[in-house]
Amino acid sequence: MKSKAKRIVSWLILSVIAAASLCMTGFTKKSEVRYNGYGEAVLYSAETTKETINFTKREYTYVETVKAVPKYDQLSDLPNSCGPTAGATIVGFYDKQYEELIPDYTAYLPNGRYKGRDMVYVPKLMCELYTLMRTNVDAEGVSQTDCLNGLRTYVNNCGRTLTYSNVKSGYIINETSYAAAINNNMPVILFCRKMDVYNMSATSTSETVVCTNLDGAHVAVGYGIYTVDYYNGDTIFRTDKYVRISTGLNFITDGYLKISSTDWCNAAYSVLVA
Amino acid sequence: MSREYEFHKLIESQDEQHKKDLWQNIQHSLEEDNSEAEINGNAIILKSNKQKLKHKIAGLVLSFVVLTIAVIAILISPVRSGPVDNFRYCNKNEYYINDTDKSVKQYAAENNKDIKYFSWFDEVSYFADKQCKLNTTDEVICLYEEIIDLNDAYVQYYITDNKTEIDLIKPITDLCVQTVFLGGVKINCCSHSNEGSSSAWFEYSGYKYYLSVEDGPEQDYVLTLISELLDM
Repeated sequence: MKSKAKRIVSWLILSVIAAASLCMTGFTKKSEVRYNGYGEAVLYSAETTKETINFTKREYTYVETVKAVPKYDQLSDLPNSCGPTAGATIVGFYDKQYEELIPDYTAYLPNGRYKGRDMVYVPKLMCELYTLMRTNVDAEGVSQTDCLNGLRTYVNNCGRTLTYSNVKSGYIINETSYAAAINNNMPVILFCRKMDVYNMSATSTSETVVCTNLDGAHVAVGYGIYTVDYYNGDTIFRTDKYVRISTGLNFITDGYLKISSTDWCNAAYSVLVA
Repeated sequence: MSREYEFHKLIESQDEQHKKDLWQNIQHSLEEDNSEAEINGNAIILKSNKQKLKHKIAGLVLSFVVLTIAVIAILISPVRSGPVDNFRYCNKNEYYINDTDKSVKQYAAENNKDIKYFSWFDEVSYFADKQCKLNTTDEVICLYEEIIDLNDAYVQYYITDNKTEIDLIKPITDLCVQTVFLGGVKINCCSHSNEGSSSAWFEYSGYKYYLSVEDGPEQDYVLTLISELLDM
């Protein structure tokens, strides 16, 4: 009996040691988050939820970069390419000021609005960014480091400088820094752990808020900030604040992410090209 | 049970003839009641369950026959047509989206489909098209077109048949909570916060049309566009 008890205790001790060793191994191997978007090779779930907010009055403010940003979507030929798509969106935005960024191509219409993705020049840009960002090299998608470095390299190769400034603090977007970027006409590259994409419609007495929940890490571009106060009589009973984004996705090219949500923002950088 | 045993003991304690008479009386009573019990020697036992078993088997056979008939009926009956029976909801795992150089107008003409498009389409300065196709069959399940129209409004325009719903377009359906009628056609619509932004969807002649507008000359510009689309 005594020897049996000893064997059991020994077995338990060994199990604990083995489990601890495995945990230590896991902790020492830290790898970057991969952003792979919602390309064909990636399975993701898209659920929709809907909320109706009733009010007696509603006030909102909205600011965006000049004429927004291009609403490019991913190429089906470039799997897991949300990073290159976001990069192309930023390049397309700045091409209005610096036309050498996309040679032989005008990224905007006579009224100043940005064109959508064409079938020649923007795909060529995306392919180049795809390579510079080392997309799908180490694993599916891009890492944050490769995405930022690849975009900077592209811009530098065009003879321009690119500066990133952090606009995140703690778990969420820093509203002040983000708003300052937008007011200074700088888009913001967003590294998202997941995306709950909101869209809204309003009547005089209610607002319908539809949220499409998209799992999977993704890179998007912020270009606006939207704040809405809901009143009951003279009292504000609810305030919601959102960043407006170019999603880079097919069909849902535009939407809003809630600033106060702590579960989506891994990193956010304003992008200045000069 | 103890009460029955006491009764049994009582019978057994009688003299032989009396005991025999008592058991016979009990037997007669059981037979008259059509009971499942019978006398066996000096004990009351249940009759064999042959009758019950026969009933069970008959029930099973009958159930099997009915089920078989039902299955055969389902298999051989013609598939009912109509939007409810053939409705499909497609998510992103089931389709892919490709650029196309075919406009909605061209697609409608080449495929002989009665799909509505804008009469002024040939005059626009910018348009881009995509097609949404099923992974398995390459069937086109949705057309997408974006246009800068003659009033500089940005128009996004999706078309499916009326038996198909696509996950990425569903938010438009959810947002359009108001209803108007244009020429007898029910239009589901909504306004967005941005000035000149609105969305709508409607069903017409076998197809569903979804429109989103930005920078329109008025808030409900989408309704003006739908009127043009329906030639009203």
